[in-house]
Amino acid sequence: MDIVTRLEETILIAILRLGNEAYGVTINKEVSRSLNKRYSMGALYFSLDQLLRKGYVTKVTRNVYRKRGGRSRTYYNLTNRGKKALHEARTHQKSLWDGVPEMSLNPTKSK
Amino acid sequence: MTKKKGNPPVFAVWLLSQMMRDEERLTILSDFSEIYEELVLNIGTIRARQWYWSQVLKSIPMFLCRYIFWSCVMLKNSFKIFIRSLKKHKGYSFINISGLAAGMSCCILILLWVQNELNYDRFHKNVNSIYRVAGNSTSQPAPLGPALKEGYPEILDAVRFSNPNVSVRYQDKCFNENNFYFADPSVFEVFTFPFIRGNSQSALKDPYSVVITENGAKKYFDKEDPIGKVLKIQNETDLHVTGIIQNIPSNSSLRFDFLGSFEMYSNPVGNHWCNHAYRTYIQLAKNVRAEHILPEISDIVMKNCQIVHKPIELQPMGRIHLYEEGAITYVYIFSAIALFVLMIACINFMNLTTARSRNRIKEIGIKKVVGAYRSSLIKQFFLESILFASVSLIIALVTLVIVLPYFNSFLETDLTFNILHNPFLLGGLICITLITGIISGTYPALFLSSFRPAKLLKSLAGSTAVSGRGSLFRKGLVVTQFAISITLIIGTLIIYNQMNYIGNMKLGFDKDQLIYMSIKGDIVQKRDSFKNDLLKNPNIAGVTLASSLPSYVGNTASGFSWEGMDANLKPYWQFVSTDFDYIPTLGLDIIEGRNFSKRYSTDTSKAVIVNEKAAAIMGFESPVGRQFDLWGHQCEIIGVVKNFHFRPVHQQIEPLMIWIGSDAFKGQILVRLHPHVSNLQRTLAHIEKTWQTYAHGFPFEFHFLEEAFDQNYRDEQKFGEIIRYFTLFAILISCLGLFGLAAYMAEQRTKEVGIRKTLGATVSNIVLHFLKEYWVLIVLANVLAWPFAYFFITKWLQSFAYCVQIGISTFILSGTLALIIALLTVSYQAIKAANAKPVDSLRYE
Repeated sequence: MDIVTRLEETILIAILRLGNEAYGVTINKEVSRSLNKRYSMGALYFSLDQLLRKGYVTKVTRNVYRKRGGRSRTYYNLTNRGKKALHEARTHQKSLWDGVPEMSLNPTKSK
Repeated sequence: MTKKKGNPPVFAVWLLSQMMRDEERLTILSDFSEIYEELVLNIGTIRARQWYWSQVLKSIPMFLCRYIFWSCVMLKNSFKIFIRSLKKHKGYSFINISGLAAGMSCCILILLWVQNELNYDRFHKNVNSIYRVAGNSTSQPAPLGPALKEGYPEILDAVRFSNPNVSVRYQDKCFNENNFYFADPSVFEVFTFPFIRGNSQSALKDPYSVVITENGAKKYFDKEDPIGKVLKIQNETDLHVTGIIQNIPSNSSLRFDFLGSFEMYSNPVGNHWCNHAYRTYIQLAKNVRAEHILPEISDIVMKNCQIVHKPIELQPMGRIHLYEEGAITYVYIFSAIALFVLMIACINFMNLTTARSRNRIKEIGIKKVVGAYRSSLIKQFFLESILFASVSLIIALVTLVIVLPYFNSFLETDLTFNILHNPFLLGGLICITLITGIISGTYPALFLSSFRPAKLLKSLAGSTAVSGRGSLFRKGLVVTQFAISITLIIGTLIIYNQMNYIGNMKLGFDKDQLIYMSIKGDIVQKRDSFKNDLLKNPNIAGVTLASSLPSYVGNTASGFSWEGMDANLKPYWQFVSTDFDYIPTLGLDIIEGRNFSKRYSTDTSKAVIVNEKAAAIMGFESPVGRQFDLWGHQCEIIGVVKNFHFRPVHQQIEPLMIWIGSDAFKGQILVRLHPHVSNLQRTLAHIEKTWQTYAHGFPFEFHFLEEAFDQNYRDEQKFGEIIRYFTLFAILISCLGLFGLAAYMAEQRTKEVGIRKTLGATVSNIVLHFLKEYWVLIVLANVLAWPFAYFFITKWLQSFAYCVQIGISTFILSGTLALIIALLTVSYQAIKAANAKPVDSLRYE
């Protein structure tokens, strides 16, 4: 069983959430939002590369027409393998926490 | 375009785009600028620009990682393809690699040698402040050294060297030493000769001391400790060994194994200001320029000896070997040849790679279709050629390690191959590899990457169109290769002719069957009985004593005059001090007057014989009978001898006078054997026996005069031999390339040959058809090579005053030779192709 890292998980979830609109800018925004800090673009591309190599995502370059000339965007999509990995990550997460009572996470009072 | 502030910072964009691969550059940049534009609207241009910059800078490590990763992926792929094609085409790979390896080993060898030459004498710490005083000759009068040292504060030190031939004895070991120098005691302060034992400050303080090199110590003392031992010089003087120095490096212009104190060596000719006998070096103080001190040195020389033939100059120590002795010419010539040979090897690579591009059309086509950029293909081919060069380098290095000892013993150098201690060499190796890779890779890389994929894939069979392209270029390269080879062949032949010419030149006397020895012991005093004893042997035709050998008369005289001499003339002549038998023993022709004769008692000091050249300078109809004032001796000119070559033929024959003069001048014994000596061994035994009676205790060492002549032309001999090897190399590599090319052509035209044969062509028809294409190339190469070769070879011949005529026959011979070699190479392939069965040929493909 290959477990994705937390960062990979975050990016994969971001792509999942964005659906057809997942490209560099939006993914970066989504990741930054969920991590609650600005995430560097360079680091993002690096991680995306790794995900590509592992086969969790595919990419396709499309030209987008906007008011001012065209732009190229590379859109990312989850593959079935990616989805499966995400799914496994979630079940793994769940099974990890299974049976741990909520209250035991409360900070103990120092005497 | 939008306003300037709407765009992200230009430099940052450029920086960013440098870090990316081509295919993703556009999308990533547009992502960046999208965020940037949004930020401009929200937080303003300045903050947005700040953000952009910080993003770019933060991203650098990440992007760099990605870049390196992908490069490695490509590298791995290229490497794999390289290995595969190496294995698949063993024959061509062999030709390519062996050619490159041969070219590179030549280059590295020459690089080592050039480095050695350029560093001549540079091991002296003070090399930049040491100068040799030169004027009339490179030797100076004895009083000059001390006068300079004491008279001028700018001159820190002056060291004189003399190099007489002395016999050295330790117990029962006794040899004549040519490497025995005498020098002023401060020699070790001026020059850097590291001591192994003893102290450089005090080693030569005592006049009865001597410093020896490791070699000298080994020769006489073997395993004993030499310090404090006594060497007996000339059977009369005891010198104590006070120090041992390291062996003198081969690239030193001062070479000795024994160094005694100058005080010990008192030349009988004496401390005369007009006797130029000692090499004199001075060390200038810091910040003193040679030009400033030069006039003062000139003055002091002029004041004491008016006869100045050539003005005084100061030759910097570091330039003596290269410029004063002319080694720089050979440095240039050899560097050029090394480059030529390397070029020929590179051309092989270019030719074979482009000719065989057809085999790679599929690979290139598919790569292009899948999306390879031209730049990445170019990179791949460069990488491939550099890999070829690296493999060749390894082979070249192995070859070099094997060859270097032979090269060293041949050139009498001690080149070592030590990359770690020689950053210059390491740099050189890397440079050679890269240059070889790039030169040989450029054309294939540009050529192969330029194909259009559609065309390539559509017509795999029609790829003749592809290999037809550039065939003109290939032919041009073959012409270049052979032009270089032909130039080298012509050079080799003419150098060989010139050396032959020198060897067979009429010198004006008979140099065969002459042997010589250095005078030792009582020979000068008892010369008459010594001669008579020698002449008792019927095989000995004549004996004479002389100041120097006729192969190189090194004594020059000035300060003499003759009756009716132009007062402005300051003659500077060569002279030989000898005896009554010199002229008959050497076999010189007297064209006027008479030889010295014992019938005239005045002949021993009052008679002079001059050569034709001297007579011409004097300008009389007949100089015989004229008065001649030689350093106070009132002499008469009694004869004129025909010109003969008493110096290497680089120089014109100079004026010479022959004089009997004092015993002190005598240095050599010349013995003429009968032309058909019946028993050489017994004759030599007789000479040795006689020697032992007159020079008891001195070693008997003799040489044939011819050896001394060969010594004069040793540099040229070696030069000729090295050129011969390189020529051989060049031809070999060229032929290797041609062989490969012809093999490929034959393979490509299999079908054509088949059709021709079916239609009735004979084997000879086909072979001739193939050869036709090549002989034109070689003829063209000849046309190019001839003027080139003529230009260079006349330059070289100019260094000889007497040289061969360059005949057209040499050129034709070289051209024919190249043609024959080339056609033989091609015809092997042609015959092979022509002999194939037409059925097989037609079924091919």
